[in-house]
Amino acid sequence: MLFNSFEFLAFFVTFLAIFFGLRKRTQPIVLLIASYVFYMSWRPSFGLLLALTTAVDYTTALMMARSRTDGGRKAAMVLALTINLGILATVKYLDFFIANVIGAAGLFGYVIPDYALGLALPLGISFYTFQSIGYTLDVYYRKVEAERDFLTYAQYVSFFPQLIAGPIERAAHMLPQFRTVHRLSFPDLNAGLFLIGFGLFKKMCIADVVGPVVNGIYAAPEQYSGSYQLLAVILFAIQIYCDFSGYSDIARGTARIMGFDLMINFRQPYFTCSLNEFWRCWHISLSSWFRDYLFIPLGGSRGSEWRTARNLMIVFAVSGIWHGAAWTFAAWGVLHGTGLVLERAFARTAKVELWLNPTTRRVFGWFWMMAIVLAGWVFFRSTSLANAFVVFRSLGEFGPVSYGTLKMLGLASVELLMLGVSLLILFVVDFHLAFRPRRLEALGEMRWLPTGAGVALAYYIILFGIFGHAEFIYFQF
Amino acid sequence: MSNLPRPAVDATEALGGSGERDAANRSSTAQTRIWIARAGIFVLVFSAVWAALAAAYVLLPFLRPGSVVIADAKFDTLVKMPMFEPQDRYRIMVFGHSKILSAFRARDLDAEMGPHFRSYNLALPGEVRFLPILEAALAAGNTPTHVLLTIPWDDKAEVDGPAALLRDDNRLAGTLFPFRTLPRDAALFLFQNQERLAEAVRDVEAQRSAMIDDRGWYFIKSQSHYPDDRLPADYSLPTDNAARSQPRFISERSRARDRLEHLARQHGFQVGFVPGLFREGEVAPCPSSDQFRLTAMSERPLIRVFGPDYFVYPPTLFADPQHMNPTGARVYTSELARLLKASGAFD
Repeated sequence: MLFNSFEFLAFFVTFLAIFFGLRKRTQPIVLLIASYVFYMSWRPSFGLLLALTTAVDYTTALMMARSRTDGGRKAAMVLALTINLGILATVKYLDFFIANVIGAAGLFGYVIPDYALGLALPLGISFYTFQSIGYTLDVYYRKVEAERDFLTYAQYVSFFPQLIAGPIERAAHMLPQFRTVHRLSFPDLNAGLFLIGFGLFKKMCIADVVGPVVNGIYAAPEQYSGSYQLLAVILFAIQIYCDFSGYSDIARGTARIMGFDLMINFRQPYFTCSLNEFWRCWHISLSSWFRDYLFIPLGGSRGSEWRTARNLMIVFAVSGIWHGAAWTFAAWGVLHGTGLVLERAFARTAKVELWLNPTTRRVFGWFWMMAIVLAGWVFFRSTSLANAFVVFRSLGEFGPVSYGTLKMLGLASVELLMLGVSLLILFVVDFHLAFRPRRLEALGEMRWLPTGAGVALAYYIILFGIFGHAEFIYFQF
Repeated sequence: MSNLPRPAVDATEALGGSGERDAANRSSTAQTRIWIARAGIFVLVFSAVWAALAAAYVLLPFLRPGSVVIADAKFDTLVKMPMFEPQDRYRIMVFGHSKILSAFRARDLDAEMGPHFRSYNLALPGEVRFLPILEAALAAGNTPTHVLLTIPWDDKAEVDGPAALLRDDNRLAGTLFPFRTLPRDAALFLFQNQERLAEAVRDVEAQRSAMIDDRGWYFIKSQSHYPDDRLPADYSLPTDNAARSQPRFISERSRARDRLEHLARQHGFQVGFVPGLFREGEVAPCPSSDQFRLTAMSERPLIRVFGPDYFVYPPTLFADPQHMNPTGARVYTSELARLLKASGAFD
């Protein structure tokens, strides 16, 4: 059941009608059932794994709370991490590990039988596992109290707006929200509808329009010249931003209508002027998770520069592998880690603030950030490292771009024009969100403008959006 | 990374109208009244726009893309008028998608096959299903002796239930908002006919009439961007693969096949597969052993495969990467006529 489907619309409207009509005691039960129905609509067996993760983390947190010794707390924490990471490793990484062992053995002439399990990857497992691990660690470090009400905790793990692709929430932020009664609030409804509308616009009018072009070129990169590769690289950068931030907006909007507040996951990352700044604005819930639960425990930036560099490299390598069991994701993470290390070293040694004015610094910083980010997306999107290098190699051989090819890839004249208009709208809105938020707020206060903007947005999506079950890119993680 | 801020407020929400700050200052009743007023205005404006676009869609049919005009004309006019004469011994209906729409010239085939042979091009642009138009023709009393397919039936074993239809967002959106393509069609129409709008409106009607007069053949001029409607001789696309052949996969189990066989038995026509077409270099030529193939797939009703799965032609016979120009259409039809004559099925 995708957010961008009529099926979800019917599900959500029905759910809201029931949810808001209920009393305090029954609201959590209905929300939990709805979350499991939503999740199990992909595959019923996925629900078992979600329930297992919930039960394990709920129980181990209570064990930590009841333990009188530090050793007991630690044992419960280790048990929770072992089970959570064990499940994740089995369903997501085991086959990758086996394939690499077989490949490595083959290099030395050994033939190992293929024991790959071929398990289906449960949707959103990386997201809800990390959310659960975050809770376990928060309880262990006494940042939050262990939740005693199973129903409350089960809602926290399975909350359907953010279950499949985040934002990865924190227990301290979400658990109190599941303990209160939720009533329909018109300001929340307004804000939620606009978030959903803007998210659908990004997904259906931009991401899904450029998706076929990117897919076509990346499916057989050796067949296209450098000009098409460059086009695909840029379009994928647009696609993944619109797809993922669009999803996050819809997730926040649906939660908001229900009276819940989810954290902001994106803050116009392509307007940033350094890689460090980019990572404060891209997939914020994941990068802050890694900061709090890996980077800081490793020592963060408190030690020497070498130690900080090591910590950054570890965090980004793990972040790469978190995305998927493939060397392309690892390469993406390592590239970003290296970029951040170089950026820190350059900032320390070159002291550019002494000899470059702020505007020039920002312009150079933007080009640097974009170069690393775009190169990273090549690894991220390519189906193999070999294909990624085909893309990099062909970027040196530019040739003409033919309209016939663009059309065949799905960008005929009107689609091209409308994509330009959609990107312009996105740019204007994102620019204001990043640099002129007060102006947007002032527009929101105008009497009929929000209503008019709402109608315009709805018709723009209806007339120029792609309808059809196009999955979100981050569902695969 | 090390000093990641936790954002506090998202200005996107501010677009949704009164923020929480403002909301807190208003009484709940006032809020409700304002919201209901806004929702009412939203519904009114939304409905007004819907009505305006629906009216434009109905009143300006010439804005619709050529594919829709052609499909509508075939459904509403061509197959509903008497298609065959009593003396026609062979009554042929040829089905396919837009490639065949532009490649098969029914009148040319009739001329080559001799008297008492009458054929129609019932290919539909952007559409691989042939049963709806065949059923429409049969319902109007137009019974063929032969149904020739260029693309096979689909492999769906079951008919789509209501749940599947509800999951078909594209179809659902098209039903709720039939004018969905109107703005892009209008933009394209205006762009292509900037200085001759009145003539362009007449052209649409002329093309429609010409298509009916040509028994369904239609040259897709709007997609032709090369001089004389000919692709350059060395034209190629990055996706071309001259080493890969493209055999047709004809599914054994198919609801469409069951239905077609039922209709064939009921109306006594035969079914045949005839070759489609590709551009040279786009795919590998069909194996030579297939060139003179005549295979019976079924005896009751008779389903035959005539010749190879496809013919291959030089780019100069194409107006765009997929569709043939009028010269190409003559060449394809002529080759098809030779194949049908050689089969002996129409002696």
